[in-house]
Amino acid sequence: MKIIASYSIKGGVGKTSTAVNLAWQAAQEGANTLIWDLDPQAAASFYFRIKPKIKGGTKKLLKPKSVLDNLIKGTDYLNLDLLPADFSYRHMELGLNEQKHPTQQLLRLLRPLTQEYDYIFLDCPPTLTLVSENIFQAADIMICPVIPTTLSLRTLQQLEDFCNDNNLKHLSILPFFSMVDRRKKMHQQIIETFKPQGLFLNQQIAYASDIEKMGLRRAAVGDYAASSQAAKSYQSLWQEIQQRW
Amino acid sequence: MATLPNNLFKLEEGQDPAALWEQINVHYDLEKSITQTHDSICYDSFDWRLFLQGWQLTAHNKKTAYESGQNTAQQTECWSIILESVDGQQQYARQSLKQVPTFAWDFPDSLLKTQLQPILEMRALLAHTHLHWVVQTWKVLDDEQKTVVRLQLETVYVVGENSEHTCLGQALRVLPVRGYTKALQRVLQIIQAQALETEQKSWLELAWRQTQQQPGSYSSKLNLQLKPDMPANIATKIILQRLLDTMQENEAGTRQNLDSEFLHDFRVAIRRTRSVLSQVKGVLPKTTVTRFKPQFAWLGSVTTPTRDLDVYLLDFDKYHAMLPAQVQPDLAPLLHFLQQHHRQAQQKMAKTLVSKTYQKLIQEWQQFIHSPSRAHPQIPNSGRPVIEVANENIWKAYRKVLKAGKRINDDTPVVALHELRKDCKKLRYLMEFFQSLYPKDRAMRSIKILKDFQNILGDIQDYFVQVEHLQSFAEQMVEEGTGSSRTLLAMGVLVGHLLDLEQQARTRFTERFEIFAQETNRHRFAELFKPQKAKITKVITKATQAGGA
Repeated sequence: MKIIASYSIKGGVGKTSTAVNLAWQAAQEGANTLIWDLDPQAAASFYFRIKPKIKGGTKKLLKPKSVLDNLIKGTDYLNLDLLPADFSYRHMELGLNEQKHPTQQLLRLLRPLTQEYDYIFLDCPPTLTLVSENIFQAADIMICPVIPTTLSLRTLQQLEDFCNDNNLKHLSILPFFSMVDRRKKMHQQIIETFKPQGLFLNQQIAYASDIEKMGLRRAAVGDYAASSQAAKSYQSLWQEIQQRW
Repeated sequence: MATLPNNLFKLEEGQDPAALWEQINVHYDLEKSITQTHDSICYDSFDWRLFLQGWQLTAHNKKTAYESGQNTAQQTECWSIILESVDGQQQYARQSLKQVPTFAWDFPDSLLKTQLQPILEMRALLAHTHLHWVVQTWKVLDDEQKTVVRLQLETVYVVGENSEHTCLGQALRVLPVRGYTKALQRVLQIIQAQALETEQKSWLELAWRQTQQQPGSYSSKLNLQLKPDMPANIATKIILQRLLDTMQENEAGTRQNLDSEFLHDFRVAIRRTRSVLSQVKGVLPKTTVTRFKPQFAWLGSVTTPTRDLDVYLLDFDKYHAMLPAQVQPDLAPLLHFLQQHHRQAQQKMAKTLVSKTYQKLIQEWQQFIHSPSRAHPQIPNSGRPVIEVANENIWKAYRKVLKAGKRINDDTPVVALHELRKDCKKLRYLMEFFQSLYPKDRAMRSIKILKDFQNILGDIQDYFVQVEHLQSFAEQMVEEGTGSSRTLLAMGVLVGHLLDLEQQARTRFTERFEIFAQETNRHRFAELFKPQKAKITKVITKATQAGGA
């Protein structure tokens, strides 16, 4: 069982589409997969047509004896379940602060599910808070979409510094270039500069209208555009990630 | 995928589900998804070890991996192998492989292998049922166009040996989507309102009915139901028929060498038949006994070389482990030698099992078993109640074992131990033949006591024979020029180790015999098997003695 977080400090870089499409890919290959929509904006829940609501909200969720089992919903796809977002997740930080081990709460909640699922994907909110620290503690792998721009790279650096400072050695960080626009010279230059270092995954996800259509189709790209470049890219990205652990 | 019990609804032949779709459509949207076809092949050992464990092992080959209608079907070469409970409610292990391995030890290291190995041991996985599925999925959607229940219209065929497809029927399976209980309940209500009955049997059970297979039907155990007052000659023929059945059931597997247990069970049935001929005295016509005894001895002997080599091949890992790590690779030529000779022995044996001599023997034996049984004054025990004959024979064999056992001490030549082992085997067979005549628990307990004692004799004999065989293999390897000095040295180390083990086993003999012959056990045997006449005589003797005193 592996817990995989799709994370970036910066918003709008393709975190949710990454989590949704990779989870879909894993499920298609027969793995029992769960995706937890931790972002109060609830984009992943929306893509899967599931109401962004959990019974009792964050308050009940963080109670010592709470379990996730009853909150899980099956998606439109076999082997793929979702734990929906809830608007109250925006107060999660406060709730976590009141706990005895504030950085271990997500891990505590996820532990009983490790028997049932082969992969648990966490679609994370774009923050660097106590919620993120919980994610870092729980995840085995952190996939970071990075737009090839200076600002995006800066946030990646911030993330790495944070992990080093907080002794998060168990966590393997796998950045990849997301929303790549080949027509933009700066994108090309940045990708070329970083290539020799081997820091980024080889597979990039190009900016594509097929991915944007996810909001309209409310489905994974591979479902409605199986032969598109975008679907193929996510498929190879998933293969490359699996080879990295 | 979660399933719920009784989620399969029978559709009568030619029944159109359209009326049902209409009813569901009143409350929900329905979306027709793709039609998938796939094959599933169920595997078990010949003696149904997985089924008897409450398990089933199925290999699925799914031609379409995607569920959405807009996708092109993706061909997969893989078999998804699933180990689950017979009712399909609980999944124990799952693995995707290019093909289904024959033996548990051939599986890659995995949970599946760990689960299968102790149950299957040396038995091969054989395909027993092949199903072909045509599954049309319908999605029940809520007002967000979200799937809340899945419906599968299943048409299932059982595939025969020549790929002929026989339709088992059509049914509707309701698959819940996690977290949408209300919708599920509602859909179930609609279906039940349409008077669709749940199908209590699984497709596999329906297939078994169609192919007339009875899972769990084969057992190498005798499982006979004899009645105490049955004439001995009739009871004996029932035993012999059961043994002949076992031989015939295992014959094809033995010839094809599907796994080593076919030959093992085949040989046990031959040995038991020989034991009936020699141990159940005065029940069968003398001419029959004299005629068939040497013939079954011949049949036993033609299967011996293959079995001997089977045993070495099965135990090879154990031998390997007996050697220090640096010597272990030197044993490889022995493995090669065993495999090569096994192939030759197997071929020779398979030839014998299709020979006219063999077929004639089986045919004539069958004729004898089927011939009418009449009590005859020249066959003294033939018409007597079987319980009396059983008691006499078992009691006699038991006393023989006790007597011989008492004579054995540390200096007794090993040959006496081998004779005792044979006597015990004869006693054991007799007890098993007639087991159903006695109270079940007590008969089983007595067999267990004997079995524990047999184990030590078996160990002594096995180590002794293994040493002898290894020495003869070494000579053969030298003759054939396949044994290097290093290999011979390694085999020498092995021989030394086995001699030690034999010695250790011998030191345990006295202690084991004492347990076997202790008073409580003697009492147990006497109570069960001592012939009535002898008991009465003893009572009379005791009474006379008491009167005299």
